[in-house]
Amino acid sequence: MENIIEIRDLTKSYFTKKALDNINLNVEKGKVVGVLGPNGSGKTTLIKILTGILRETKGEVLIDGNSPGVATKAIVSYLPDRNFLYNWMSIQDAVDFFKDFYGDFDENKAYELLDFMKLNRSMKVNELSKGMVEKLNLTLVLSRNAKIYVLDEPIAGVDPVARDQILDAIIGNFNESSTMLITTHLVRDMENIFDDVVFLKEGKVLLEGNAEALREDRGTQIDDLYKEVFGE
Amino acid sequence: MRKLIKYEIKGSYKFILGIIAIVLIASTIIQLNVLKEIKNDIRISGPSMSIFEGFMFALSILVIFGAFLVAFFHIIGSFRKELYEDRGYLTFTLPLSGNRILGAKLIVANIWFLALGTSTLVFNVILTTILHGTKWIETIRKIFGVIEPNIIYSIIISSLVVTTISFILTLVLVYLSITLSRVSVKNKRIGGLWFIVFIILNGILGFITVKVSTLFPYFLNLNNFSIVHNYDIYSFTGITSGLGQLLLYGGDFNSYINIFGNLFQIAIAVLGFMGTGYLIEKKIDL
Amino acid sequence: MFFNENLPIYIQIMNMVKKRIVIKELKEGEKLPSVRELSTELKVNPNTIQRSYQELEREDLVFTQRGMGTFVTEDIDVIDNLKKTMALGLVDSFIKDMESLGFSIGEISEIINNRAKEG
Repeated sequence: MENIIEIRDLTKSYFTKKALDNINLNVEKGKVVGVLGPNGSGKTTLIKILTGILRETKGEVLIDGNSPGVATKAIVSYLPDRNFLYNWMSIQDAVDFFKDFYGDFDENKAYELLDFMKLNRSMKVNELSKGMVEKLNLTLVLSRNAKIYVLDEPIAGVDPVARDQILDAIIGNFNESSTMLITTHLVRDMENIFDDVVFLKEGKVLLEGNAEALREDRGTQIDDLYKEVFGE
Repeated sequence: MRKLIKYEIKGSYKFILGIIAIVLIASTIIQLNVLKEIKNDIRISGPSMSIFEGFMFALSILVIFGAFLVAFFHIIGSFRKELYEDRGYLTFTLPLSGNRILGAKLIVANIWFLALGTSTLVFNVILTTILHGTKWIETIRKIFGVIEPNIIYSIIISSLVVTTISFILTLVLVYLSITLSRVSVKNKRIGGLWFIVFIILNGILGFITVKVSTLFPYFLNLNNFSIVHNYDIYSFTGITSGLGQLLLYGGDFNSYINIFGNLFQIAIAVLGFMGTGYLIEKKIDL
Repeated sequence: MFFNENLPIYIQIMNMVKKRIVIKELKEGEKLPSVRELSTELKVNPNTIQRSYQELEREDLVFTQRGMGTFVTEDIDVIDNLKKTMALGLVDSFIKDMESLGFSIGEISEIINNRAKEG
């Protein structure tokens, strides 16, 4: 299988602290990969390097053969763990913005997803609740026909109804030609959608592999394995 | 880049319109006071402006000054926000180079300052005409009557060119200072650090500019595009005024642009722009 | 949907489909939900559903028609066999549990017979 993301000896240090410590990881094209770990394990750091807003201290990252930069930003659709839309925007403005900047943006898909999420186009971004912001951001990110989706904690801090909508939208968006990298610490809610999982602990890869193979080998669900590993 | 400019304008036009409205209201108050003053002077001499009116007059001048200052900090603040706030996650994951993002910011800043300046000027000219009639045009005509129109144009154009270069350079240095302080001090927002960096950068570059201008005192005569030495301007025309060493107005009303000084400013602006563009594309850690 | 048994998800989904076939919720020759439908319904990766269907096909419980979808086998014997196999599986695990409580096979069968008489 072709690797769409290749990470070699990746280290990110802040002064003396290492947020990522010599990570080696390949992501195959078409796979849904869960990056699992508690807060502070380096998940977000890894994702920010992949999306080109954080620089590695050492090592190399290749996305579809390129280092993170303008070219990779055009093929990576990124959902950050915060509201990244400009405060003055209405939902319609946000849709127009994505349409203007991303050639792979599918406007009709966006409107369908907005309906599905029960979001009104005239609503203002700064008047939305946390769950609505998460749904709007996910709508925009999934409406791109991107080669790679990078979703950072897509269901953190949202109510169960929103969580189900978000999961449905993610699953509905699966296709063989695009790859998804999803971070979460809510393993139980999301483990069934992963092909592969990567356990991150204190900046290191603790365990990685096919989710079903791990279930078979260890005789547990990934959530139980996660609890075992991180001692929750 | 055009698209980013569009969204930059969309995001800030309400604020700028508000500033313009405040400036225009304050201008009106000043002008009305001036009008009253003139009429009082004509009728009777004596105490003309009441304390309240005096207060409003002074306040209005302060308000205009303040409004321009607020606008300046708001506009450069919009760049700062990209580096320190969550919106940067959107801007810096767009498939745009650092130069394009910076270019859009710079162009919008210029558009807004131009809009502020022009609207204030035009409004005041119109208001003056309404309140005092067209006499002022006559007066200005008389003043300029003694000078050739060509020379007036060259004064206006040369002043515009030199101030525009300086203005853009200042903005670029502000952006560079903000970026440098963001890149050097990670994950911490130190309030006035960029301003200190800016003052130092600006001081050093200002000093070098003066050095360059005085070491190579060759000037371009905008009227006949001849190149003249400082010495010639002094000896033949006698200096009346100038903008530092960058632009001289000769006693003959010709304007002389310092070639090396201004080229140096342009070079620094270009280098500063490229440097900042590089830093925000390749070195920023959000 | 949460999968609680300590088995791979694809096996749990196979078991679920098997049960639906045995209790005739899915009749012989009936079309199974598409991979995408079931994936959305269960909130499970479509690759996992795909694998379940492939394994069910290998066990001859379902068959795939190109471009049409996956269907329950039309062979009643296969379904009857499945029913028997599942029954045996339940009995086996029951016996295992009882043995762990210290009952012998004879005692277990006696308990069941008594229970059956009581109705």
